Amino acid sequence: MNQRKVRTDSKLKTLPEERQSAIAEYLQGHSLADTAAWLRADGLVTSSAALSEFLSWYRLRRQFQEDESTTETLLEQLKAQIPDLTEEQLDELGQRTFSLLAIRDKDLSGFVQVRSARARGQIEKAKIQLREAAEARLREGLKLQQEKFRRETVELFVEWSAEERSKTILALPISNKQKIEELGRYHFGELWELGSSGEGRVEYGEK
Amino acid sequence: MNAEQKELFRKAILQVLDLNRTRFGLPPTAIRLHLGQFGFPGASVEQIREEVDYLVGKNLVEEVLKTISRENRAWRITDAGIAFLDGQL
Repeated sequence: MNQRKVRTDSKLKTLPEERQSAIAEYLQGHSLADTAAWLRADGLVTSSAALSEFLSWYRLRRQFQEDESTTETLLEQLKAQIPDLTEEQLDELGQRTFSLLAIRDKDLSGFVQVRSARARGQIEKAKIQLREAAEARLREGLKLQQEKFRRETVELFVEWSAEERSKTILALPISNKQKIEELGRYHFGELWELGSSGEGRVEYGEK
Repeated sequence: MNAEQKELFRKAILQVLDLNRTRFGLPPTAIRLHLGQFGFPGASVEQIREEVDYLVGKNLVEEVLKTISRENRAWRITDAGIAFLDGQL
């Protein structure tokens, strides 16, 4: 392992390896709060958040160390089996192996994240499809209502135009607005007044 | 990314590389996997390569085995990079 400068940004991260290992092991069977209390009793004051960050840091760093160890073992075996391999070739093989190992453990969680994202995507897609279907039904309903409205309007026109009273009203020397009011009152009676005052609606075809 | 975000992104890359104290380097795909922990879950490999090159120029990061192909490049943090993070955190 590279023995370069050690980071000093965390009390936990600068503890001896054995102590770090003991804390990580304790965390496996205890909550963050319990572990913090356990450390506090031993004179090390830390928070649950710091412990959580430490655990992620420790696991990843250990993973890289293990990957390095695995790679070195593999290189030793290769060197024994193929003595002609140069140091440069071994280094390159080592780097390629380490690179693959460095991403393999995370592949699963990455895969799970992708699957989760895909599942979320499918749910969103289903929601959109349902909304589109509902909108389509609404559009179809409106279309049918409009067709019904047009048909009934024409039917009423035919029916009313044959009535003498309607003809009389239409012939009166009054404005179109007044003619509409008169025809409305004549054909719908009280319902027309209710509709005009906003207290009720006049249904087409009702008389 | 604006200048401030770029600074944070570069620092996050350094923090990922800081986790690896082995003689081998980390490829951009591995850096990307771990960047999420430092607030950059959606970084692209191209963005990472670009910023790592910048950090190499500042001697905070070094490329390992420059002889291997461009697709298989890998980097590790330098002592200057560790010192830089010490000053930042």
